[in-house]
Amino acid sequence: MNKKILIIDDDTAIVESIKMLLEIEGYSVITMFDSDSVGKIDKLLPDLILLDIWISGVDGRDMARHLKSQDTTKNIPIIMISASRDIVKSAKEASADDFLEKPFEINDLLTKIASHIKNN
Amino acid sequence: MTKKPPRMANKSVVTPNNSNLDILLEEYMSKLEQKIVSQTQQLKTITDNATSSLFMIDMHGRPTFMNPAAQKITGYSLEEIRDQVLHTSLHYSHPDGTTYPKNSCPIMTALLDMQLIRDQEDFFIRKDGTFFPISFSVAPLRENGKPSGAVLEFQDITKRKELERQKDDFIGVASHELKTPVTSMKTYTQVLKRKFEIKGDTESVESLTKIDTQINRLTALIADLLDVTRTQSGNLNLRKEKFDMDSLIKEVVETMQLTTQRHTILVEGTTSKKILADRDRTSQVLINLISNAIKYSPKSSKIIVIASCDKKEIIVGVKDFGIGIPKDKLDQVFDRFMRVSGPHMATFAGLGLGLYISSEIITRQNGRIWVDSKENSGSTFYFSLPFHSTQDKV
Repeated sequence: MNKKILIIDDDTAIVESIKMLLEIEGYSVITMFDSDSVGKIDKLLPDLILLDIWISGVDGRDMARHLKSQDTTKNIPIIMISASRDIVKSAKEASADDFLEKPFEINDLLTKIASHIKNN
Repeated sequence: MTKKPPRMANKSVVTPNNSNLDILLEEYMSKLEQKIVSQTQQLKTITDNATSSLFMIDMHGRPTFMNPAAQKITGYSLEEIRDQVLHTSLHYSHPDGTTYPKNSCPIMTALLDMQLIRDQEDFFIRKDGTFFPISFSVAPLRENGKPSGAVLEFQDITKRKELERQKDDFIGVASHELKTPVTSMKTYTQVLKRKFEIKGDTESVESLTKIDTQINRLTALIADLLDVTRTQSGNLNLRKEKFDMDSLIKEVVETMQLTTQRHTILVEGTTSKKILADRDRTSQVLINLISNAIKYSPKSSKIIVIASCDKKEIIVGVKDFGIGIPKDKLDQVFDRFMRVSGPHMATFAGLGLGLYISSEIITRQNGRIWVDSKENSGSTFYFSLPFHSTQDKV
């Protein structure tokens, strides 16, 4: 069964470009464009979450902290992606598992995803 | 018969003992008194109308004078606070609620050390308990050569801080808005390139590689523009941490080696030191210097990173064997928007911000940056950073 990746980002172009990439690589992809559906994540149970730091005005770090505090979702690896240079600090503050600064090399993204899914 | 003394025009009686000297002395004292009154009045006018707040404090730190601006901004009158140390009235706590000990207060330290300090930032507390950010200076006072107190001058910088926050917010938004479309452009480009690689369409792969390179250039330009905006507005925040310089050099060289197949990047020497500096920004400088070395030596096959240290600083050099820099341009290379000109201009495009930003990063960390170069032979760019203590060996 294909590993499932959830992409949460409010930019349609970014989400669709990453979705195209991950599907080519054999992943199953779910997408969210805002924070409204966060409550469904514990039912979706993805193998990994790609989370933007700002999603339609909502702080992605708060979402990450929430997910890491719930028993059903705390073990799902979260990779935070951001255009900000402070992504390292932000990811640590949010207890995310990894980070990637936009724009990124697709090989870097794929390597990180493979690494965290393998370790989980 | 005793002669009567002559009368003066002002009807003073001049006796043989009421000498001209006394009169002159009296006149001199009168003029002096007038001068003192006049200058005191002038000083009062200055202090009364100054927009900066002023305190005079004695050697115990108690206020002996405050101007109207200080009264207005703090909410206190001199009578209310003259009997206690100024720190106890205005500076007793940090904004987060923790106690601010007197012996940690830079104003008290400057007073006791008779030290001049300028343009430092801190927070004061008004009479109503609200905090406000200040920029302050302290100048020691002496009377008859002995320390007698200090003058404290400060300004409320709430508006300036708000402006800085707005600029920070703008930089954050601009960064996000510029990088967002570039992110999907890059991802789509690389995905397409993969697809064409699988199909064996080398021509399309080549075109897409060129597009990807230009996207990287655009990304670097955006980063440079944002950095220079931060630099200009004083918002180039440096986060200092202790780190091993040789590890940083190794890491950067390994990363940059991946960007060039033509050049071999060698490392000579070691610093054998840990330094206290902003690791990310120092890395940015080294990346910029190596990137320039690669760019400006397209026909050579090696770049050398030279690491060393002396008694007070580490020194890192990046040597290339490329086009070099004309002698008349050497003192301009670290200027903003300084670019290659002449026949190489079209080949070496760029905004000319990298060295300017690198220079700002290094000088703000109390380091130095300089270049040795000879046209058509190559250049060596150096930077140095002081290390924290002689105990900081790896």
